[in-house]
Amino acid sequence: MLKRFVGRRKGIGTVLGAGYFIIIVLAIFNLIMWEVTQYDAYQQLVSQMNQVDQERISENLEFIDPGITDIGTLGAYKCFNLTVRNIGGITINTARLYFYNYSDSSSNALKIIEKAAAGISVNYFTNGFINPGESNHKIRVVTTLDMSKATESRPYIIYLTTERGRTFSTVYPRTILPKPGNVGFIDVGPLRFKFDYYALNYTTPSRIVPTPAWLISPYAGGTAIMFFVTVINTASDDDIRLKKYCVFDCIEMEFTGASGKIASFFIVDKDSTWPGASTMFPYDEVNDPYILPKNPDPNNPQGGITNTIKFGAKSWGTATVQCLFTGGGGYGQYVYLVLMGFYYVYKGQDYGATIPFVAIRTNTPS
Amino acid sequence: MKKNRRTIPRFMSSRRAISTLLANVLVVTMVVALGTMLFIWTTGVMGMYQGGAGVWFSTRSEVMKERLAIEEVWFTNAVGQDRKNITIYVRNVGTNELKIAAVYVNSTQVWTGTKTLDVGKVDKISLTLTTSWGRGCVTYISVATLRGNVVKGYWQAPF
Repeated sequence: MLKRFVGRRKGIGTVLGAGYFIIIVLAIFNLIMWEVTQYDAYQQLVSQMNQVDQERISENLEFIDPGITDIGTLGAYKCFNLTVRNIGGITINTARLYFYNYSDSSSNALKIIEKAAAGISVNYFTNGFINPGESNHKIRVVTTLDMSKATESRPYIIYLTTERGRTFSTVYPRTILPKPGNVGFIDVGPLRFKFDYYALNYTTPSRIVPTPAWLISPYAGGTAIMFFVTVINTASDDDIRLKKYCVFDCIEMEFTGASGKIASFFIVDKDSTWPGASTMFPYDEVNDPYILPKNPDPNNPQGGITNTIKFGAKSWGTATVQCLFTGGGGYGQYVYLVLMGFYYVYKGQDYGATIPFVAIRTNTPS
Repeated sequence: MKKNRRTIPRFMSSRRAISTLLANVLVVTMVVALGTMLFIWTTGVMGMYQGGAGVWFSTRSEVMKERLAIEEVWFTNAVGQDRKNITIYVRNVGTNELKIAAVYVNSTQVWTGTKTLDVGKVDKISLTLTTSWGRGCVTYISVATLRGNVVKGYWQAPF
């Protein structure tokens, strides 16, 4: 049959044409297959890079207040922990840390902290791998930076960069601002003074239970008095130690023009209860000072732990009782403007603040 | 062989079916010629298409693999207090080596060149502005790679 097919002369053109057609169809098919392969490879790459992007945006990190803890020394260098929380859904590998002194525009303002590696003896960090859900992860930093000198007026901005290209930042030290519209506090520096009816009290020898001091009545001239003020340390990075110079000044405002007499009540020991020889004690700022503890919880709407500071001494460091100025004595009606002087030590430095505080009255009709 | 010697002269001298033969030869020749032309043309067209598509896929793949992150922008002084220096730290977080080609500050090109960055590496680009950066000013910075990727963002200068 093949012999007969070969021997025939008819249909050769058709056969050749069909052969060409088949070759061309195969070539086009090959091209389509090549294109499909290329497109598939490209789509795989797109998916792979989309996954990379997805992982990048899944990273989420939060700095835990106060940001830096356990400040110490390691040989000639400083060391501390950067505390963070991984609130994303993926592990984070820290690539680098940048410490930027915001108040410094010199060439020393930026300090780069690298991942610990052979040959790096300072300005490095360890423990930079943060698993998802870790809530108190400490990244150990060894550096030449002295972070204990950072203050609100000289803060550092800390940038933590990840290997996937995200950057998380915080400021250190953090300043906790009062909530907008909150009229219940007076904030001066890290000190917060509560401003509600029960935040200011007084005691006298005849009224030994603290009583709101907005209107002191009855008050006989010459009666020793002690005041109680509620104070909060809103700073989250250090305690505040009060000094013996803290004072509660009552400026008498007489409408006749004879005003301006000031009765100063200095800080007394925290064990004092009411003004008296055995119930009010001199303030010992060395051995038993008032320590206002730092704020342990940044979400606390009060801004920290409440402390009651007592004032009642005529001069600093004594237990000599003091009285409000009442002119001729008796049960005179007076008004007073109260200013407070707060002298304290915060992060090893001495500070002083004048607090325009309250206005109180004695014996006036309500 | 002898038979063929006798057949060919007889075939040549015969006058029958010449037109059929010629027609067959003609058709075969035309089919071969046209088929060859079509094949050459098809091959050429497909080759051109394949070449163009290959370049496109290759280029797009290279671009797709690039990822760049600006880690930190540091506003500082070049000389004294002139406030004309900005240092940018960039990291290659993609899967391909990249080349940084230009940096723009507030839509003005302030640096151009070629800085190669290997995968996972970080490098800095120091810029010197012609005018001082303003204290507290928000600055728009974009970094462009040679393959055409652009990473941009806003950074605030210190007060």
